Order: sequence, then structure tokens, then C-alpha cells
Amino acid sequence: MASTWPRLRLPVVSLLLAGLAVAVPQGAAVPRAAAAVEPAAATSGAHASIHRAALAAPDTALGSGWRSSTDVAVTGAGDENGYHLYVAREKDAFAWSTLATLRSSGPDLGVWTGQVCVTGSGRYAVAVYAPATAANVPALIEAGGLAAVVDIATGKARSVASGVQLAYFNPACGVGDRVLLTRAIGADEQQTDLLTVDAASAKVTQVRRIHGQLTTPVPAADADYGIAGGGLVRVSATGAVQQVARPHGTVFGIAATAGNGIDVISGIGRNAFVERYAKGSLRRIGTGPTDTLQLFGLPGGRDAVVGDVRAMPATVPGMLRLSADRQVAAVSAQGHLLAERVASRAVTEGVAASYGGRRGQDSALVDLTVRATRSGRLSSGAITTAQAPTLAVDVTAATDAAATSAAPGTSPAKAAPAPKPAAKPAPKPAVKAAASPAAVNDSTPTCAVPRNDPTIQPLQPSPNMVEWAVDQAVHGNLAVQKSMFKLAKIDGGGTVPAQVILGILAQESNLSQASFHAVPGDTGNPEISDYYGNRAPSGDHNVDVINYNNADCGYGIGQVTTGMSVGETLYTPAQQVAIASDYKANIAAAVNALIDKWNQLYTEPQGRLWVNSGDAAYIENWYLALWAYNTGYHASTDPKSGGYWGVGWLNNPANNSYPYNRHRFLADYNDATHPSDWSYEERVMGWIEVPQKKGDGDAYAKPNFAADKGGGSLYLPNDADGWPRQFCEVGINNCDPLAATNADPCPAENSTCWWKGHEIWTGCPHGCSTEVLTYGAGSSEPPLQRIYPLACDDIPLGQDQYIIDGVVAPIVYDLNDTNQYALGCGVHPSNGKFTLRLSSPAGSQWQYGEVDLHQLGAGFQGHIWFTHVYPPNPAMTGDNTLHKVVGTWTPDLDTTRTYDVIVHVPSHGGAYATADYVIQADPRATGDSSKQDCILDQRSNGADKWKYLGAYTLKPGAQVMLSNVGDGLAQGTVDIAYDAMAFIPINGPGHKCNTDF
Amino acid sequence: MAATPRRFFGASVTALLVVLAPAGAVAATVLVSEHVAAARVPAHAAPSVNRSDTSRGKGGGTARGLSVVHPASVGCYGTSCNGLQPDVEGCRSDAIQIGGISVTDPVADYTLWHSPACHSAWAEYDSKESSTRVERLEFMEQYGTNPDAYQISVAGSGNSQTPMVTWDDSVQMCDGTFVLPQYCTEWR
Repeated sequence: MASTWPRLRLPVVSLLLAGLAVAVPQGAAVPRAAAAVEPAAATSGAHASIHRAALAAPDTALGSGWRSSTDVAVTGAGDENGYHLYVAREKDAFAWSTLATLRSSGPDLGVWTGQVCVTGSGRYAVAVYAPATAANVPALIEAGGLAAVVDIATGKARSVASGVQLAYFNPACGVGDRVLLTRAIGADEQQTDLLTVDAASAKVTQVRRIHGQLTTPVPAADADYGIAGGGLVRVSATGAVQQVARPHGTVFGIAATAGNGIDVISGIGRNAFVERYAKGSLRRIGTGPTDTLQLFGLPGGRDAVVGDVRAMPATVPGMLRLSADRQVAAVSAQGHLLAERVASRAVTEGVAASYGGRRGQDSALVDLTVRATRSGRLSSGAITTAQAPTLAVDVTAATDAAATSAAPGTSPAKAAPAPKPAAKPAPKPAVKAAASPAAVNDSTPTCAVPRNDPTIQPLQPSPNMVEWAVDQAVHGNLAVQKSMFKLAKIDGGGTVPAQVILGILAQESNLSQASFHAVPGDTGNPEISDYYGNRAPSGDHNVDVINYNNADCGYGIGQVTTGMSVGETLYTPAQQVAIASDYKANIAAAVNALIDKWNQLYTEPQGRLWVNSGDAAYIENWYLALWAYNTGYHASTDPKSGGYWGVGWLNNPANNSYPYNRHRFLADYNDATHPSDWSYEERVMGWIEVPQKKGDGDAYAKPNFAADKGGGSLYLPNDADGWPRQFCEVGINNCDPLAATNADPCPAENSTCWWKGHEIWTGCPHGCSTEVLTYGAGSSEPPLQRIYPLACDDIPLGQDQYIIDGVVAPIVYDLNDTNQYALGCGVHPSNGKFTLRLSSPAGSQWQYGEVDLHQLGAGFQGHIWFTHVYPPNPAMTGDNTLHKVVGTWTPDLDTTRTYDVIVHVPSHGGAYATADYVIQADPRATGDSSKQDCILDQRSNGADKWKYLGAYTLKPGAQVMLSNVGDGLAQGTVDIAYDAMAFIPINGPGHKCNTDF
Repeated sequence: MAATPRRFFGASVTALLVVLAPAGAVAATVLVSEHVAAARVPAHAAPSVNRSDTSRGKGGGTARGLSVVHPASVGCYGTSCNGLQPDVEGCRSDAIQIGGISVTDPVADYTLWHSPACHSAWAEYDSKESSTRVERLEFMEQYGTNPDAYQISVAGSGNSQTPMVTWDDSVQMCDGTFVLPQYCTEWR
């Protein structure tokens, strides 16, 4: 069991995270990395934004010519607001600023991730980006990314494609402004669409279908190349591939030079090999360690090797040689700067992000460590994300276009509202026979439990509650397991180790039952994955199609998916609602879902699939069940399996979709920023080994680690001989473990690659890990650790010179049925009505208006609605067709009199500084002249408060309206809240707009 | 503000009721969408909800909530009024005007009404000139979902009104068909 593949402790950042190069003058001595770290910028607070991680003493660090340098570095990091690109120019001492923000208008998408490369001209950055949770959904890994081109000089971003692959080699820049994108086709990625992009025009110019898995493509000067079947292939104009050479090991990087050929880096175990293909033959240039040597393509037709370059020749035409003692994220265009680490705290803090005090529109800080290659000087700091050109790909608009094109000749008919998903107890059973014959489901989510239903408001538990529930659930001790979700029996006996479930919950949802907008203690909408569906019909040139029929419908903390679509009958409607709304029920269902996978493997009629000792008590033995939890199990009895059976190829660690030089997941916590570099089971095992963080500590307990590993880690396949090919066996799955390292072990890339059987990489008990329970059987639910206090207090009217004693003060709540307030405040009935109207004209495309509407257990008595502030559509004053939301408060007034109108501003969920409340004092009047307004600052600095809208003489039927369409600067990231409003009868002038109550 | 172009909501109209307008001057054909006809509730499904509020506030401030008492005479409340006639259910007695427009071709008034007692709303068309028109009460659920409409066809001059819908909904009145909209009141 001796490990031939040591656990790599050096952090790895995806090779293509930044595709810029190095410009140490060729032949110059490469300085050893300097040991001194100069804290050029503070790691937090205002200093960070001033220094922006610039290099101190640039004359020394960069050399005297830095002021006239044109060198530039680009990198990216994501948070809840999108995937941000950052740029640093040497003439600014490599101070970083925000270049662009890329996102989509989909709902509740959470933290974004992405990768970026720079084109050969150096003018454009090309990014592939997606919500981080997409990595949990096989169809989205294969084709769930969005792609955009960003002008590095201006930050202008243009959408290029949707439905592209999330893989370490996507996007691929090369010579000139030609860029390649990939889309994996088929559940086993047996085919690949290769998209050619002209970055200058931001257009897809060609889509070629490759009949096989193509990885690490590169647009070279003479043709496009890539790796297929382990070999370097040239891709013809029609998509035919021809092998031109066979690299020495398993390729994990490729770069094209303008005039010197194509460079390839590959590995065999610890040794990496850099080779150059030119003039029809491949020859070795140099070697280095697999864990630190990297290859980057550079603008200007050059490339660079970065890392431990001692075994690389000093002078190679077209290739720079840069020393680094760890893997790096990005290299500047001329190689003067290495961005060693780029980490958004939105990702690295995990659940701790909730504790960090970020509110409303704030973007997460990004921690940067950079190195000047000339001097070896290091600089580290945290940068803030500034307002930047924003590209919000409107997935709903894309859907709309798709529907229109799919049903030519129909009216512009968003027309008939399609059926509302099942569980909503609609007061009016909505729908009529559809007037629209649209063949594509362009508008209605297919998931069983809807969003924005006040009767479905899951509580966001704090991590201690999650761990308690898991500790109880695996042993059948939750109350909900006595009734609704009886604990399933594990074939072969035993229980699921608690840490296996905790690892799943960490990977699936960051321990969140409610949408990420809700911090622990809030209620919110359910967390629902992939509400927007994904990709184009394969082979279709229209890459901008998104179809709700492809929605994933993973619900809640365990992202329970099976049985959660409309029409599925695995669960009763009551169970579906419980899975969506109660974290304990969701965990109980997730435990059963995992046990179901275990049992499917156990009872396979053709023979059990299992690993090691097969005893359920050991965490390592759940490897296959985790694999199947993500991509399912193909049983031999399933007619769709076509005579094959086993666990799928996508999550096989031998799949070349995963970089050969990857270390163990979460060996660097920043690995969570590019999860698609690892198979699902590798990721869950990572979250078991390295728990999610919560504040300064871990969100849950680590297991009892394997004694054979010194009690410090799990014993995983990459600790053992044969990695990553333990799940390859000739005669079982057509995957040859002894295939040369430079060959694809399962070139068929189809169901023949499905693995089955028994694999042993460690011996239990000494080589296996077991659960640790923090909460004993039958212990009671630990207290909720709230982030914000509840605002249950009545309005503190107090003494006021204007208030008329003894006269009623109507309060209009934002839920008309105040029994729906879910946080236990004891709310009175509402004295009026609150309505929302969605899209513009109101109701015309309401499904789209609902996309970015959220409910949250914040504000007065614990409920608000919020959305984001959007710009007007071009040429539409104050109107946004899809995203407009108008909230209206109409108090029950029985007589005309003067009122001080006050509105509650929530501690979080509202951050718009210029919210324009419009007062219609006389409901019979019409037109703009009949309206008054108050521009109010909703920023509350984390405290609940009431503010005055001012004093108005209101007639019965009067109302106050608030729209989310802003002044054009808003880009859909600033929160705008709809909370309670009260009308205080007064004598006298009353109070002024936007003053504190 | 008055002449907002409208898009077709696609409220498919499947049931057809013919009633006489109470004023008797105009024959009105009332088109009611299917679900409302099906959901027609027994008369006098009066509210059991006690809408009177309890006190709040501290110190010298006002501390009573609104107290809304429904006349025992009304025949429906909220959603139970959906599709019913305001006169028949006794909802006109406390009605307040909450919106409206006047037009000149033909000379006519469009009025939105709200009855606190019935917790309902409806639209009224009052024409001084003879004309053949289509009038709609448009509504959507309280938080913006499922827009729908009641539509009436009128001929001649005089007064006619739409069926009621719950006051929980957003409401507006529009003249003209979905395809050829003419005028709309503001939303209430």
C-alpha cells in the first residue's frame, strides 16, 4: 500500500485560469524565488483598496523601466455577484482593478466560478464562467458554462456562447484572436463540439463535432490541435482528427507558439515532460516535477514554462522560463508578474462568508499573492471589486428567443401562462388551455416546489444544527425519520458515516437549505439548483438556447433531485414540500438517497460493485456510492443501459477531463473555486478531510482518520498504486490500466468504460476512517446561531409632537396573510394590501420578472421581498421589460387625512441608496402630476430601522409604489427591499422624506 | 398614462355568461374564464376572518389598529367574490372609487371600484354615446403571478360593470381587446 503518488501539498490553480505569459528576457538568469514577502497592501480594510496588491518599491521589484512597460496581467475570481475579471498593468506597479463582471440573470445562482485566457493579440480576455454549483450537475459540467469576450483596454464584455464545458482547458487561447471552446456531448463525453470563436467580433464562427473526447485544444498558427486518445491530434476543417504525435505522458497542458510549433506538457507519476511538436515531429525540451511545472500560452506568439524549471533549458525559441515554487494562477503578458494565488473570500470562506459581515451588494474581497519575476519580490493583499462593465447574460431572454424561433408564426406570446408547478396552493387554479402552442417550455420551471411561495419558507440553519441533524439522521434518530422519511436499511448492514453526509452537504450546498441569500437564522426560498435548464440541442449551431425542461431540480441542503420534478411520484406532495422547506427532512432524504445508491451497487444482479472491505462503517468504502450519487448507477437490468452496467465514465478519476497534475481536492482551500477539476467523489472526500470553515473554526468534525495515514487523512485512491486508474480493468470496462501513460485508458469514452467489480486500495480497519459524532444519539437540536437579530418589536411610536392620540395607525405588511410570517414574531393582521407586479407591461412576462425576485426572513417581523435594481431597457424610460418589479402598499384608510408614512428598512436585503417611493395620494387622479415621491436610502448598516417617507394627505385608496428600475447605472447587483409600511395620522407638518424614525 | 399599449395575456375564455346589466340600458355579454365559473362559490360565503386589529405602539402614540367591520348584508368576501356581480352581492354600498379615466371617443367614463366590505374590486363602464366595445377587468395574484381578466362586451350606451375579483389582487380596467387595446387605468 505504499504510496507512489504522494499527496501534493502545493496549491494548484487551473492552468488556464490565466493564459498570460512571462517576459523575462530570454537567456536572462531566472531569479530564485525570493523568500521575503512584502506586505505591500494590508490584507483587509481600506488599505487594501488603496494599494490593490501593487508592488512596493517598484524600481527595485520590477526594474527601472516599469513606468513605460506595456505588460499587463488578467485574472478572475467569482462571488455571488458574478465572475469578475481583474487587470493589473506594470505601469501601475501592477495594482489591480476590476475589468469586468460577468453573470447571468438567473435566480439564486450563488457564487460564480470561471476561467480566463488572453488571446494571442493581447487585446481580449475570454472567459468561461458558471455558478459554482454547476459542478455538481453532470449535464452542466459537460455543457453548462457561459462564454464571453472582454476587451482588456475598456472592459467591454460581449457574450459569445452558452452551453460550453466546464473543464480546466476551457477556454483555449492561442495565436491571434482565434479561440477554441469545447462542449462535451453524451453522458460519457463520447463526443465533443469544438467551437471556434473570433474574439474580435465576439462570434462563434464554426462548430465542429469531434467523434471522440477532445481535451486541451489549442488554436495554432496552421491548424487547431488537441489531445484525443492520449495523442496529439490535428483537427481538420470538418472535425476529423488525425494523430500527429504521441506525447510522453498524460497531457495536462498545451500551448501554441507563433513560429516555433506547439508545446505540450505531460506527466508520468511525479515527472513532467515538456515537448515541442514542430515540422512533423515531437521532441523533448525539458523536464520537471508534475506538481509544480506548468505551461502557459502567452500573447505575442510565445509561451512560458513556470515552476521548478531547473531541468528546463535556459533558452528555447518562443518559450519563456519562469521560476516559481508553487503552481500559479496567472502570468502577465510579458512575464514580469506571476499571480500566484487569486482567491475570492466568497469561496474560501465557505459558510463563513455568512459570518463575514458582507451585506447587500458588497462584493467579496479577493486575496492575491503576486511575484515580480525580475526580483522575486512577493506582494500580497486583498482587493475589492469595483463597479465595472457588467455583462448579465439574460438567460430568460435567450429562452424567450428560443421559444419564438421554435414556434414561428405565433404571436409574441408569452401569452398563456403555463401551468404553475404542482405544490403551490394557488387560490385560482391558474391556467387556461394554452393559446401558445410553443413546443419549447420557455417559461415555466419544471421543479415540483416553487420559489416565492410564502407558505414555503425554509429556515437557513446554522452549521451546528446541520451537524446535529446529520449525526442524528445517519442513525435514524430524527423525528422526521419516524414518520415521513424512515431511514433506509443498508444492504450488508451498518450505517452511513456522518462525515460522508456532511461532505456531500458541503459540496452540494455549502450547508444551505435556503437560497444563498439567506444567512443562518433567516428564512428564504428553497435552494434549487439549475432552475434555468441548460443547453442547445446537440449539434445545433444555436448555442444560446436554454430550456427549462432540462432543469435539474435539486432541492435544499442535500440537493435532493430524484423525485423532485413535476410529475414524479417517488414522494408525496407533502414530502416534496418537506424536502424543500425543512433541512432535517432534506437531510433524511439525502441519507436515504445515498443508501439507495449503495444498495443498488450491492444488489447488482451481475455482481456487487464495492471497494476495499465493503463494510459501510468505513468512509473510504463509500467511494463508489458517492460516484453514483452524482451521476447515477447504470444497472444491468436497466434496458437503457444497452447491455452494459456500472458507474459512469464521467466521474472516473482516469477521465482526461480532469487534469493529470491535480493534487488532492482542498489541499489548497482555493480548490473550491474550480471544482470541476475533480471528480465528484474526489470532491466529497476532500470536504470530509478538510471541513467547511465557519468563522475561525470548522463547520463540522473531522472523522477518525485512517491509522495507516497517521490519523491525519483519509486513505484515498491517490494515496495508492495505480492512481488515477484504479477503476480501469481490461475485460471489465474496456479501460486499460496498463495502457501507456500517454494513451487514453478508455478511448471509447462510452458505456464500455463504465466500471464495475471490486477494487482494493486500502485495508480496513487500519487503512480506513470512521465517523465522529459531535452530537450523541437523541440529543436535542442545538440553538440556532443567528447572524442578525429578529425585528419582532412593535413600532416604537413613542412621543411625537404630531401624532394624534387615539387614532389608528395602519400597518401594511408585505405578506397579506400575516399567518405566513414564519419566524414566530406573532404578527398582527395587515391593515391593507401589498402587491407585486412583475415585468413590463405588468404581467406580460411575469415568469421572467419572478426570476430575480426573492423572499427573505428579514425586516419587520421577519419577512421581506427583494430583487435587484435594473437599468431601463435601451430607449425605454424607467422600464425594464423582463425584470421590472413594482411593489405597492395600499392601506385601508377610512377617511382623508394627513399621515406620516414610515417604511421599515431591513438589516439586510436592501442596499439601494436611491429607492424612489412614489406616493399616489388620490387614487382617482391619474398621470405623473398626481404623484409625489420620496427618494430613500435603504442602506441600513446592518440594523433594522424605520424611516420616514414624509407627510402626505391621503384619501381612501391611496397607495405607495416602489419600482426596481433604476437610473441606468444599476446593473442588477444592488438589493432593493420591500418591507412593511405604516401610516401614522398626524396633525401638523410631520416629518421629512428619508429621515430616521 | 392612460393609453398604455397592452399585450395579450392569453386568458383563454371558455365560459360565457349572458347577464343583463342592472341599469338595463346596455346588454352586456360577460366572458368569464373557466376557473372562475368553476370556482363560483355559494352566496354568503361571508368572511369569518376578524379583520379588527389589536393595539400596537408604545408611549403616547396611537395604538389601535384599524377595525374593519363587514356589513352583514354583503354576500361575499375576497376570493369568494371572484366572478360575482357587485350589485347582486351588495358590494356597492360602501364602494370607493380607486381609479378611472374619461375618454371622448366615445364619450365614456371608466371607473375602478373597491368595496372594503366585500374586499373586492370591479370595473364600470359608463358611456354617454352608443358604441360597441369590449371592456376588461384585468387582475393578477397578489405577488404578481397568473394574470387574468374578466371581459365584457357592451353595445349601446349606458352603464355596465364587470364581475368582481378579490381586492388581494392587483387590478386595472382596460378598454378594447387584448389584441387591440385602447385605454387602461393605472393598476391598483
